[in-house]
Amino acid sequence: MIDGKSDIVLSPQFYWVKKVALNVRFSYEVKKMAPAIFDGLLPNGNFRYSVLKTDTKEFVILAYDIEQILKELNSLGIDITLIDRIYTLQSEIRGDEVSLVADNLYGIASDDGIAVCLPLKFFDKQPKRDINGLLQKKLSKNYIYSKNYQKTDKNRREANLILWLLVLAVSLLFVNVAKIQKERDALAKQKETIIKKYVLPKTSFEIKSMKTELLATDRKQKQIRESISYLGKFRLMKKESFASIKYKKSDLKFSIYLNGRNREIQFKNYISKKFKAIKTQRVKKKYIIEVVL
Amino acid sequence: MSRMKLYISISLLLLIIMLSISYVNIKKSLKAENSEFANFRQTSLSLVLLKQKWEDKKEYKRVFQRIKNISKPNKEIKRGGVRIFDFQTLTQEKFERIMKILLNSNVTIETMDIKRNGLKISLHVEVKL
Repeated sequence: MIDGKSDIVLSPQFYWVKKVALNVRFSYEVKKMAPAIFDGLLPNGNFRYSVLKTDTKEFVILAYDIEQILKELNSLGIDITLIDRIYTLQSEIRGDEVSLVADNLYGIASDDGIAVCLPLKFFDKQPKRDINGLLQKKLSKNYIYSKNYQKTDKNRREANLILWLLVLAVSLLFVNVAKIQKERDALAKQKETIIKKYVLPKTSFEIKSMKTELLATDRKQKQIRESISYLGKFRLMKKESFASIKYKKSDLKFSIYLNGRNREIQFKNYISKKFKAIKTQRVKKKYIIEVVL
Repeated sequence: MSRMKLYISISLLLLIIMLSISYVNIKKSLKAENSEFANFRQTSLSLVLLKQKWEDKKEYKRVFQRIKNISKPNKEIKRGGVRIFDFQTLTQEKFERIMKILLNSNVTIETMDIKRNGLKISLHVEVKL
């Protein structure tokens, strides 16, 4: 039972331990290999691993299921909310050879640096020291559980999530920007294709300019044709005829022989319906009209 | 959160802000370019149609040949991008046929001078190539 904030040192029953000699330098490298090293040796559970370096190429690997451990401790009547940190006996013997009394029935011994819990009757000689001496010492930094760590672990998970969301957001933005750039490039390419296909000038300004010019030509040519057709539709009477029709630039000048003044007025009215800026003149019998298209 | 992760997060956030601004600007720019392209396409297509109408060399050749088939011109001159036809004595019928061809074609008439001399008609026409 504990009645205040406490650290727990677990006896070997709560974890699995294996000593390995590997040709690596650092503990984290061994930690990566731990699941493979313990493969087939552990029961079902959510195991984590801790690595203690004992010598240059010698490591002690601890495998533990922290949820199971906490459950077990709870079932033993220990208030887990009061637990600050949990250590393993293995990490606290620090590779020393030990022989300690745990309680009336059990003792702790080590073999080749691995701490084991055995019934006292298995010892050749009753150990002289008990475990309290070990527990009085300052504990190592090799805890396998920390209350603060759980909170920190949660914060760390949240921080990682935020980080990943940010990375996702950045990636999405990059993708969208790249997509838009691609669309712009496609537009530019389409433009180039049209210019090449129809042999057009390269700039929009030139294209617009050419179009304006040709539209003016189109308008003017339509006007000429309509004007001459219109003149041709005027019903001439006997002895009446067109003497000349001259078109140059925007000026249309034509002369006509008509039968008398009334006919000239009729003709002028007819012309007025189509043309503006009319200049009229009579030279002998010829009625000359000049209009601007 | 460790300090390193905090710095990374702040950097990413700033990057997001900058990218968002760029994204908005590029999108605006794309909208403008789409609009500009639509205008360009329309203008280009109009120009192409106008060129096909008024700058079709085959049409010019065809018109000139048809006119000459009706009556051989007294003068035919090529001068500085202009083709000049001069007919001195056309009958009414030939004149009307030539005029019909000219007025129904898409050749660019620069100058036209028609004079009646009794029963004959003279026609001077300058066509811009």
